[in-house]
Amino acid sequence: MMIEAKKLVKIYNGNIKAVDGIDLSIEKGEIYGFLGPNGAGKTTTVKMLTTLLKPTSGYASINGLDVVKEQEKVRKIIGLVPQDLSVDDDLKGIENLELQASFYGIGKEEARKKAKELLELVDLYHARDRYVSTYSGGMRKRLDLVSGLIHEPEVLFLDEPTLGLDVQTRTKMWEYIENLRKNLGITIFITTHYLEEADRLCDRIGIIDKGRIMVEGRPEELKNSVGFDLIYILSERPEEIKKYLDNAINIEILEDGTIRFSVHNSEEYIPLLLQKIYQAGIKIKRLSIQKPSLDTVFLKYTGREMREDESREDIIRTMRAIRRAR
Amino acid sequence: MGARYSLTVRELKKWIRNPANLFITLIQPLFWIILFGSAFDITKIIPPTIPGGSSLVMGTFFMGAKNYISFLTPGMLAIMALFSAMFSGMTIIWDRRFGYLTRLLVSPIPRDSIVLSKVFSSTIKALVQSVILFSIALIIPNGLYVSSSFNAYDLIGIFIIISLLSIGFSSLFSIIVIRVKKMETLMAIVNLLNLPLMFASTAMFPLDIMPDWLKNIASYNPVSWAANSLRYLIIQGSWNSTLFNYIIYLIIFDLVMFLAVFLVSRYGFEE
Repeated sequence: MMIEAKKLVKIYNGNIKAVDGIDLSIEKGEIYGFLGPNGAGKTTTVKMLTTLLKPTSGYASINGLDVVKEQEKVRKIIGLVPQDLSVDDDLKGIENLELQASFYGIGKEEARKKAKELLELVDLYHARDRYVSTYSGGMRKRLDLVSGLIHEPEVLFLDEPTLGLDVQTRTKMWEYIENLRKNLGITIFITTHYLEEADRLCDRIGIIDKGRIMVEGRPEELKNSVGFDLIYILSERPEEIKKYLDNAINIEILEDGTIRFSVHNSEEYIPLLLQKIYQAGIKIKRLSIQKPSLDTVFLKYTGREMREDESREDIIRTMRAIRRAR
Repeated sequence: MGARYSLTVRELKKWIRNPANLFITLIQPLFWIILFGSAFDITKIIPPTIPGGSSLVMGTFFMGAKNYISFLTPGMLAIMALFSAMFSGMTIIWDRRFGYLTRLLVSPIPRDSIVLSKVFSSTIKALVQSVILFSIALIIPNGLYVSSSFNAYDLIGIFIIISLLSIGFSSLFSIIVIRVKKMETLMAIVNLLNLPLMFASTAMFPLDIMPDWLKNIASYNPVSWAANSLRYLIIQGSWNSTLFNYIIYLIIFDLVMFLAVFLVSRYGFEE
């Protein structure tokens, strides 16, 4: 087991429970995602796993090394890309990586070679001799990403890797992260509050809310556990169609005459339904199927919509950015 | 030694690449020397009541300096080391604010290297700055008059004293910055410390013209120890027993601060 946690708890200031008994077991080579809203305890968990914070109680280990008792050894085999940018603006791109390498006792020659490889991996080699202060936000984030990789860690922690990036840059980041796993085969632990991100990148997802893992599983599994495909059928006689909907739930006829309902397995349900509808001589104008998304999963297990928090977090983020710019 | 060295180099790189920084840290003591030294020449304010005239005043109160600038310059060298130490300690808060500290804390480097790199780089900065300031004080008309016996050993002595002062104070400020995470509070504390350290010392005024209560404070102020030591070396060119005592005080001050910084960085460092 590469990452393990048992009943991990963190209480701030004696009463704020940020993490409330988390269990984790993540295999080598897995990409595991922590999905949850702001303040769910994602970053606190990452900080405990990366030795930055001492757990209030519970146990956690990286590759069998205790994150409290064997901090030094843990630090050698992990890489962290923190939520906030953490590269040094006053240094050049390559200097940032070489400095980082010196923390791990990597020699100058090797550091240079390694830095070149990593910069090429994220298309930054052409900008290696530029000061980071001249980099765009996306470039900084990419440099940040590979800074956590210079010592070839066994586990990489990515705390909100695409927060605040535009859609195009975000997609590009995803490609880079996918390449990392493909090329280096390392275990990756991602926290995110973007459903799309978790869905695309992660082998397994834990949905975390209020310091607890509400549900855990492969994205497909989770979506199946919600179990319902949403089906829309537009026809002239929706009332009649309603008669043929066995085992469907949440049946509703919308204003434009579209009938909406949920079923467990639309792949098998739809052909049968269509046969009946044709036999009854009803014409269908339009049919659409919406597969379950992590949105619905999140809603089911936390009773809340993810989006509400997302916008709030964006506001906080913007304010922080403003404060930083002084 | 790896991380201590490379982080010190990082600090120095950042310093050299930002000449405005160097300029600002130099310009302030320069103002003091040129403006204060000429306009507020307190040697002229103290009336030579004692028979024997002004040369006796300079001898008794101003440690034998030929003019006020000569008295003030060694004090300003000490103040500059103090300021440089303060600024270096403060860079930890920027590392914290801009996330670099996280990167450092998550890596297997010894915790003390984060602080020691600030201490080392601050000392090097202070030495470079003092060479520049010393040279300017020599160049300006009716500026610094060094003792006739001034030699290379005295110069080495100056470097030693400035290093000792710088190590002690950059450690002290680093400890404060590690423990006080709030920017506003930190600024207040640093200001609160800085002014008394500067004014309740012999950096600008001789001990003998201070009221008794201030005299007591000033004589326990490491800035005074350094300022007076520098005066012995620069103005008098004498390695006397008082100078050696001051050096020993400074070494003790450094050892205490060094130990404290080591313990705080090892056990009290949080993100």
